[in-house]
Amino acid sequence: MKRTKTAGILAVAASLSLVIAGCASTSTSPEAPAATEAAAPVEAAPSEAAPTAAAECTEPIIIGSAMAQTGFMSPFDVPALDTARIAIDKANAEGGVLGCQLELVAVDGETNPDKGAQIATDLISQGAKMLLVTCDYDINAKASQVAQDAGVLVIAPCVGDTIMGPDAGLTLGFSLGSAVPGEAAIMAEYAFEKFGPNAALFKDMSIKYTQNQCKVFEERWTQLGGKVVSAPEFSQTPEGTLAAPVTAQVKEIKDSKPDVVALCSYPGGGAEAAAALRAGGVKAPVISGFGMDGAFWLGAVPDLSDFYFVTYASVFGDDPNPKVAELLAAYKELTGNDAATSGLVTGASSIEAFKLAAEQAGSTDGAALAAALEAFSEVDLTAGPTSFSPELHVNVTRPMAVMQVQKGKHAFIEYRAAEQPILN
Amino acid sequence: MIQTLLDALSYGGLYGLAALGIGLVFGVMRLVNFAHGELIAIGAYLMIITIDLGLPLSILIAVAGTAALALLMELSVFKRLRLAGPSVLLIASFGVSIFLQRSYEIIFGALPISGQIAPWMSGVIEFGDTTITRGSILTIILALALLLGMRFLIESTTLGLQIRAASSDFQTARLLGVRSNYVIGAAFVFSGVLAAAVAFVLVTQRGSVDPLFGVNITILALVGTVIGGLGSLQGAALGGFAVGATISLLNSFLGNYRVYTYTWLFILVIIVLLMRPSGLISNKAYKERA
Repeated sequence: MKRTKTAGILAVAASLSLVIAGCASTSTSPEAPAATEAAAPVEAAPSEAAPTAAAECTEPIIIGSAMAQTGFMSPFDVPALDTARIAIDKANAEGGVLGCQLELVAVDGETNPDKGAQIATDLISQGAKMLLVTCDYDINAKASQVAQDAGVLVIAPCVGDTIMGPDAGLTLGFSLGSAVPGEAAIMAEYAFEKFGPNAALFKDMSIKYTQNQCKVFEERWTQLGGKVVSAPEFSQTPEGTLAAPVTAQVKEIKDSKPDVVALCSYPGGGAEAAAALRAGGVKAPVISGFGMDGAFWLGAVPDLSDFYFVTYASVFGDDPNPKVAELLAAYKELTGNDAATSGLVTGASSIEAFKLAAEQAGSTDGAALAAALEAFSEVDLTAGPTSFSPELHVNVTRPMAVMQVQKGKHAFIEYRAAEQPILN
Repeated sequence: MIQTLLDALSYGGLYGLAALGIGLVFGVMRLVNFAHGELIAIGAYLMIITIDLGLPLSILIAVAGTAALALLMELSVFKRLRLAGPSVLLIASFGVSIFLQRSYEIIFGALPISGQIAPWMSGVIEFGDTTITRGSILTIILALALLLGMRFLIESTTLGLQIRAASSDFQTARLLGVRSNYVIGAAFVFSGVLAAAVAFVLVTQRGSVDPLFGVNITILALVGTVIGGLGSLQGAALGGFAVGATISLLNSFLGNYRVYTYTWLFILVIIVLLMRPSGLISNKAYKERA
């Protein structure tokens, strides 16, 4: 009897363990800088309920947010949400949108797809005209679908997967991020030009973002005439640590004598992997993407050198784009903190894009806004020149910042766009 | 090959320490303490935050803080649930775990906090063609020292005798005069000390800490305590070691199939439990506390 009781406890404990171990896995994305022209005007009939510039505004336009303020997506979502707040204040100071003030209603999506869907339903019933959702498609899919079904524009500020949009049936879904087809192509083009033809891939198989990153890198690398000399894999736990030591993988890379190592990963396991490369005697330059942006993980790799990554912008005070500098200053004033990574520029750009689209469409109707956004061609936003098309609702041709880390110090090198994005 | 074995030993030792921390508390009160991961996390936070005071003082603060939090858990939550069933205790520990994770998020932020605790633990030592990482050797030494220390404490002191007695048969131990609250409190404190040791090794490897810092190792260490034999302290340490070492070895030998490391690990766990349902070292006198 007592054994049975104990077995019961163990069964519950084991089940709970598996639930925890099985939860989560995700990705994030990219984006960047530079400047351009305004989008072409778009013909769109104002919806009956939508405010227009001519009409007198009786109530504010609600921007709903189901982005994650807690959970593992919060490090990516919270800064973007903060800059969305900054952009809303700025837009309101300039007279609002279509004569109306913008009002942000943010509810914590908790990195939980079902919670996100509930919040989306609630915010839309409150009259939200645009919904901001978490920066990962796997997590935001349900909330995005709620908005799509209700005819409301939905923007995931920094999703870096081209699935955010028509590929997922989201004709009203957009991302202000720069997607992997461009980001990883830039990684390959820069590394090939600077370091030589033999690359080792250090592939983090934990999430789609990093899997696609190395896939695109490899394709672009071979297009350029480069050779992949080794490609060991590793994975992280859902909590973001190495699932197992990577000593064997590092040895494989070292023995293959690469000119450069492409590290497709994100912290903390990505930081541990970078540390293991250097501790294991791999001295070749390492190139990575937006996933390895920021200095918060450098404690794992004392005096890291010859490390490069491609990201949206520099948060280290040397970005040549004045819009980025202005946003970073406003962010510090709002939060009291320096930005951890540059993904935050996409939050402000989401609001900028909404404002431009609404003014061009003369409406806040979802379909009209989407049509206006699809006509964006090299529109100058804080995140950089932004283009969409009816097929692609995320950027792959936007210039991105190439950053360098030497002796633990970050430095901006250049902005560059992919010469040849790799779209599947 | 030498590095592979050293990795297995160091990973195993680390998981053994975590499993022993969980096993100590389970032994005396049949509580599967999921909040053990948050003890590991607070240890890491304290070390990173206080490292400017110097490593020895930082470690001291972390050990004291972690042990204090463990004791606080016992006094504020679990002591009040003495008469509750094991399932209630389990759910309560989940509540404590989530409460602490969210508290860390509020206090320290969701982003990892970075810091270098012991940079001298990174780097390699070369013997001819063989290179071995310094961290794995130091981890093995630390784990061995702590496991031996705990063994001495458990087997050669009066308090250890009481903990062993309570682990073996809590009811009888109480009838024989073992002060239950004292023993349970001591088990929580030792569990906290072991959590701080695990935190030290992990934070030197990772260089940063976040609110979910201790979750993964706690889940796997729990698996270790189950296959080692619930109610047996030696079993917990052995089971934890086996899990850690197996993960490390599978990762080395599976080559391009290493993404299936955890699949194979759990297949092996199932096989072990089918062959020895009571674990590798079963506690014959094991009885449920009423």
